[in-house]
Amino acid sequence: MPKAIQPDGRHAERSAAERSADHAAIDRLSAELLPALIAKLGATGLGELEVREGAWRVRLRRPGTAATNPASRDRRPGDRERAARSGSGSSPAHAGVGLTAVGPGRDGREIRDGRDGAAAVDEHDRRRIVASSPAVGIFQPRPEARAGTKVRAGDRLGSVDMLGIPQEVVAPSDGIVGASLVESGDAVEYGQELILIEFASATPSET
Amino acid sequence: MFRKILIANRGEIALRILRACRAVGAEAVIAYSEADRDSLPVQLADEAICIGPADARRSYLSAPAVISAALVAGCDAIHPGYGFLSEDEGFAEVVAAHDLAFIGPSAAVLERFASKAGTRQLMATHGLPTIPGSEGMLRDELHALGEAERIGYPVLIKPSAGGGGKGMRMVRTGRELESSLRVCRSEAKAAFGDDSLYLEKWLDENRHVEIQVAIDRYGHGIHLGERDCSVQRRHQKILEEAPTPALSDAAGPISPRVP
Repeated sequence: MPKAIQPDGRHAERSAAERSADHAAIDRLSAELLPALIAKLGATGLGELEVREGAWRVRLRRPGTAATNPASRDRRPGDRERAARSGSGSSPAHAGVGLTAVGPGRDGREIRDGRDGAAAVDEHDRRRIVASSPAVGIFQPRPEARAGTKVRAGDRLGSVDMLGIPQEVVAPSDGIVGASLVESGDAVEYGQELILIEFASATPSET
Repeated sequence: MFRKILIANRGEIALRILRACRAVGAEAVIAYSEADRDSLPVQLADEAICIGPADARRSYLSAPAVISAALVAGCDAIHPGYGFLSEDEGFAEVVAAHDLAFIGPSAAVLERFASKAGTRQLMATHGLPTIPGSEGMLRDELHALGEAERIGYPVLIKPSAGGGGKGMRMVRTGRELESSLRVCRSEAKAAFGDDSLYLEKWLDENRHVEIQVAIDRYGHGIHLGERDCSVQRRHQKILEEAPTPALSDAAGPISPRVP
């Protein structure tokens, strides 16, 4: 595994205080910043994302960015989701710059259907968790479930009104409510991606 | 004329409706299930909207999903094609209640023709010839045996709510009738949710010739000529032939009288 996060060059002869400061920073990064960045990268479709803070620099990149078809962004939401799921399982760790995924559920939560292994898709993308529409109708978010709210799998995030009958939109897994991909009152179709679920904070044992 | 039509069907049926939409200059929105995401009609339609999972009961057979799709897509009409919800009078009624046009017979007409036994009765009251059969539904074994005796064996047991040849049995004796009744009932119940059965005289040497008729709400009617559908397998048509070789010229050109 390449080192994902590096302090600028200085490796040797550091004081205990410096080291513990580094560890604290690593903990903070993995717990707070990385899940948010991963979600952001997944949501925006950007190829690369870099954040600098003091002596630290974090860069996330999709390994297959150049190779994967950019036109796939223009397809239906369902198509994109499917393309994202059908990862090749290629190593996400590109020497020096690739970030290995940090966060809980690294093994259990990936949604795979393995229908075709052609597209090189980043591990982060496959781990994208989205609450999708249970019906065709008009979407109404639940005010209590605004972005940043912690939710458990099965919690209600809103509803889709199908001929006056509200169909519940539920969180597919534990996490934090992220960006909404549709507006309140929007017409949505069955299976359409509605709300991103960002991962809950990482446990230190996994970093 | 309709501006935007929702097609609530799939496959070849959806393609035909799509072509008709193009011909009349209406926009076509296809309602599809996840199983048909990559199908030809979805690719060719002006708009496509996913209404449910592969299970037809939660997509093509779900009246709320289909109507909701029509509303969110801004359609003014729904074309159900054939099969699925096309003969569901409840669906036709709810469509109309949402100020959408149901392209098909009115709910009242669908209801009148939903029961085969009822249709037989309706035709008989208008003086049209029907195949000899039981008076109303079969109440029990005893009633069935009595009616079969009156009609004369062999007889055909038919589910009133039927279609597609399911739950039909030809029986030649009373004993066969007794043993087949239960099977037919459970088949009809499973296939149509209605186990009403009736009897019809079985015609050994027969041909199936049908004439399709379309009538608009102003009472203008056309017929689409006759077709011979005698080539069947398990009561399902395999081949339709027109004109039929079975009718002599003496039968003359077909001129249906519309009551």
